[in-house]
Amino acid sequence: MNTILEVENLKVYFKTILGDAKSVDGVSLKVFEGEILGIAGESGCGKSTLVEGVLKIYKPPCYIPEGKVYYKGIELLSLPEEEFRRLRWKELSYVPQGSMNSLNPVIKIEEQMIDGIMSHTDISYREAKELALSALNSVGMPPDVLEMYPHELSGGMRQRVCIAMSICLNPKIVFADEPITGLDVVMQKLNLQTLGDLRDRFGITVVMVAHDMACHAEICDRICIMYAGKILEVGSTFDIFSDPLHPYTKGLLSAVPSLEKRELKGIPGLAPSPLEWPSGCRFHPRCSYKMKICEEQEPILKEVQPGRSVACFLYGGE
Amino acid sequence: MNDSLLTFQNVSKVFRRVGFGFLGRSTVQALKDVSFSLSSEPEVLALVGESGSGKSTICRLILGLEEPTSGEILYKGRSISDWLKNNKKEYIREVQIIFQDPYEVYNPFYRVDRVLWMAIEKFNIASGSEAERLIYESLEAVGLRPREILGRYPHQLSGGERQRIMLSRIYLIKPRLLVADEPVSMLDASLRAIFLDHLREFKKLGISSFYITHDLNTAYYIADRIMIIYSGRILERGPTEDVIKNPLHPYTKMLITSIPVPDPNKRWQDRVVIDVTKLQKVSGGETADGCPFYNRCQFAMDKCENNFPITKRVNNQEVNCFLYE
Repeated sequence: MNTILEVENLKVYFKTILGDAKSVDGVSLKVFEGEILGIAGESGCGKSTLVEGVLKIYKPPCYIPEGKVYYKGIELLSLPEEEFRRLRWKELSYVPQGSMNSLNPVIKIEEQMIDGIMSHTDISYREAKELALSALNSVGMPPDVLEMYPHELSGGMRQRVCIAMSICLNPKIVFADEPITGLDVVMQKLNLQTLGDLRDRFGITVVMVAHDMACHAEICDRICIMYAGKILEVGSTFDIFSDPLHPYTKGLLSAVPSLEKRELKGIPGLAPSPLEWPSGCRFHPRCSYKMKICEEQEPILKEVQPGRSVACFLYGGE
Repeated sequence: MNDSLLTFQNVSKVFRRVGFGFLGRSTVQALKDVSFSLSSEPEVLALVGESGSGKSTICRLILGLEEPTSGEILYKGRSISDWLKNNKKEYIREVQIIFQDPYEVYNPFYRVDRVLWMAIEKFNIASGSEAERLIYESLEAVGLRPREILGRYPHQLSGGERQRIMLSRIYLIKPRLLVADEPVSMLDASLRAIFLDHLREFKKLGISSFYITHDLNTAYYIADRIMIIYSGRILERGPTEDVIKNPLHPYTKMLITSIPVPDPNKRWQDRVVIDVTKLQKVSGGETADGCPFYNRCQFAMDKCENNFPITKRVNNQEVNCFLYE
């Protein structure tokens, strides 16, 4: 498999009066061409910030102290903003979190879609409209949607408009941040399947950020588990669900409610603060397998089986 | 019927939208002919519905924040308006709520201790050192360390901690009925289970819970009975296990098959097909007497459009659907 995007030791910090909030603190990962990669983790673990860092769409007080992002051999973070802007949407596009609320309520969908297309390409209004129509068609929306205002559509449909907007210019990678949060279950299913279609029908690589493990199980090929600004485990969806290695992954999976089993187990303790991550392994204060070394030394993410990496001293690596 | 804790008898609620002159004046039927009861034995009853289905209206009616347009709500055999007129304090002591948002219920200017002290003062629970002991005990009961919590301000605590302080407040007051309106939707997965376990514990203390949620999964985890509400109508109800394993109403079936299973070996095999001619958002303003699910139901019959089926008992469940006539 070809690597389409590679993130190397990316750090994304926020400046605060109490010091740096290290939301993303040294993440390395590879995205393969044509896959659906899920980024899972609880609120505050840095999963959305990671995507914002990769796409460089953050604003101060957020900044990137170090790290590299390679896309097709180009290092993105050192690109001048004007050049990066040309890559966005055409190559790397984004469906923001809560995107059903990101449309302008007083402008018709048509104008909003075409505005996006025309500011990233040099084509005429008519051509842009055709692109918008075909994008809507690909997510299963009728052409009359163009004539509507956002409030005439339900939240799920607005979200699909945003998915359509993200694929107007036929990008290589779509980053979808919590694409189904806040929707009714039927809409969730529909939109998840639409995201799956982006890959299956158009070959677009999808990176999906979501806190709900059940959605990852549904469409992802691989999953990254994030905790406290770090990746703790990476593996194929089937491996992660059938044989989670990291104690946090185990805990996370047994905390997922399901109609299949009537038991749940939470993870005791509370999520740490990005202002002051715990020493050593960041999960050690809540971990039931804690050893002495976990408090002192930070485990590195290393491959334990082909395609399977974990950052935990239970699997060696002192 | 009269020995039940809480009874809704044919309750309807209509909200009026204010408009200019004749234009834009309309009504929204939030609840239609809703009847159910909570038994006098402690139990957890879950009300499951999508956004806009009327869940929160039911919550507000129980708390007495709204009055029903028609029908009656009885608590221990007396109507809620009567309770609030004559025994308001007693009613509030017995019926407590946990809201969805653990960020908005605190006054940011006061330390979090205040919510606990207020409860003690308002309800004359205890005084002096006894009160302090109770506060410590209630915080420990929900798994918080009092020393780390007391004296802090809301912004210094995480959402999970704040929501658990709300739980400790319930533990302190020990109401008879707890109304929990989406209490875990803003908590992390790892904390949800712990929170829900406390609701179960409360049952042992004699506290019934009315658990309002959009999430069938968590309802399945803690509820003894489930009611499914859609667009202001209760469509199906019954013991949790029966409703989940053997759903009767087409809407319940659709809900259950749409929920993703956290197991990659059990991915969806079917696809959702949405009728694009019905794209427009359903405004919720319809006052038709038919089944609210009529437009989306694959088994819809002619009579469903203008008639609402009566409640039918099938096995342990009760369902309102013409398929079971």
